[in-house]
Amino acid sequence: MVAEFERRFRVDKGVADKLSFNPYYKKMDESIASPRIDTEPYIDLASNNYLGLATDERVKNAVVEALHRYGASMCGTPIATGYAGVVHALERRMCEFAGVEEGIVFPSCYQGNVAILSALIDKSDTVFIDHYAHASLIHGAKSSGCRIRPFLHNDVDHLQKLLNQHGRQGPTFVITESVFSTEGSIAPFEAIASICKRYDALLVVDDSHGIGVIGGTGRGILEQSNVRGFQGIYTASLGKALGNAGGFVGGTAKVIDFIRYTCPGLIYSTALPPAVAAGALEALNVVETEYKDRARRMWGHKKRLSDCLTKCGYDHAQGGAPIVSVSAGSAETTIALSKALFESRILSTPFIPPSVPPNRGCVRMIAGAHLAEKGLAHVCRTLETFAGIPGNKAVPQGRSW
Amino acid sequence: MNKGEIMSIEDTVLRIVNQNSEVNSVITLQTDLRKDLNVDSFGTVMIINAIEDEFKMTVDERDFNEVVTVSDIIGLLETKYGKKGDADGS
Repeated sequence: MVAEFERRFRVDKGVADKLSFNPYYKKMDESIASPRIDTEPYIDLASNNYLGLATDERVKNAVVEALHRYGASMCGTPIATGYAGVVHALERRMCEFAGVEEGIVFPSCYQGNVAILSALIDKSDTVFIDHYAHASLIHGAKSSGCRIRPFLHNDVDHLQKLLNQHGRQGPTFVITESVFSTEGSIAPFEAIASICKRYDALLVVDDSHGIGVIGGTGRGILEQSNVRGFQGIYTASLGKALGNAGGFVGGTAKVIDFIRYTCPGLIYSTALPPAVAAGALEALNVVETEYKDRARRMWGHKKRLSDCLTKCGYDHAQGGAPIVSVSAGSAETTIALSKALFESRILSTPFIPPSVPPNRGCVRMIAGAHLAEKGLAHVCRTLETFAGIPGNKAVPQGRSW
Repeated sequence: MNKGEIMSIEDTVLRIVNQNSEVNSVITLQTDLRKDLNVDSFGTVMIINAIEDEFKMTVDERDFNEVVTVSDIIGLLETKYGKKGDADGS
């Protein structure tokens, strides 16, 4: 390999090597409801299975039934043979559920975000995007070659200032998430939507960590913010609270029709398997009937973990979503905390740069509604034990443990 | 370059960095953008955009690869971009 490729394709695994622990790409055996790695059982705080629907019997049965009806795949793109009836049904149902006029399903939300932004944004447009927006949104915006102006995280004043300076120089997009996944902060969506209206900016919101999670009945950010007749673009993952896979893109009928017939990332990609669509559709049924009970458990778990971290002196984010995120600092400290949890049979998600800014490493824990009391008690006991270890860098120094 | 001009560009850059930082802390010429302010690649873009707006100029993002401190930004603007006066680029 030429020297340039040697340099370019190098992955720095220095921290993992130093700690003899790589938290990424762990080979999982069995479901995330009862995960096993190398035959050992673990408690899952790493997945986004907020409502515990990934292993719900009704969801699994819907998948199996559709699998028998449609087979493993339609072996085609949506515009050809991939548009199964159940995919169409899922699109209609998602529109009603999330509160958008029209919608379309992609094989993943990452793919959907990249595909639609590269198709909808022109090189001469300006994009204002939250500093901490998801990689797929940044990737999509950048792929258009447009002028990108990040604004400070969830800072409406900064967004307004930038729009005031540059927002009327041509077509303008404002891109944000509803729930930011690393720390669980929630966007001031009503204010952002209002500003977009004032500046004729097209608002794009990724509700991947909001759908099935926030809002009075779990319908996500539009319900939570009481936004009706949303004229922007709405995207959401079907692989988090909805327990399956795929991505949904919603918007006005005109925009969705444009995507349907012109977006290369949709047209030339093999469609979502019908069985997965059936699983997501059934998950929506469960959310509509059981959200209240499942949400009560999910939020209860979040509060218990948060209270435990506060009591023990951990520095942790105080976001409004059911995400618990311990601020761990450097990449090494972050991986070390994740390793310690792993050794206690707890799966967590460590975020290190470049996924997060320098020195803002964090360990995320999501306690889904399905998590048993015994498991949660074990997590709390473990966190309490760690806090008692002198020199533990994941908790503030200077107090006597 | 007189003393007044030096202060002007320093003050302007300090204000820009302060207004485009996610971290609420006292910023000096010696402040390390990455270590002290957690400035990442998108944070750098924010600062560059603000500099371009303020000084009415275009900055090559690659020039910021070697920037470590606030002082380095000022040095870059002075040496490569010839900014020695006030924020209007005079």
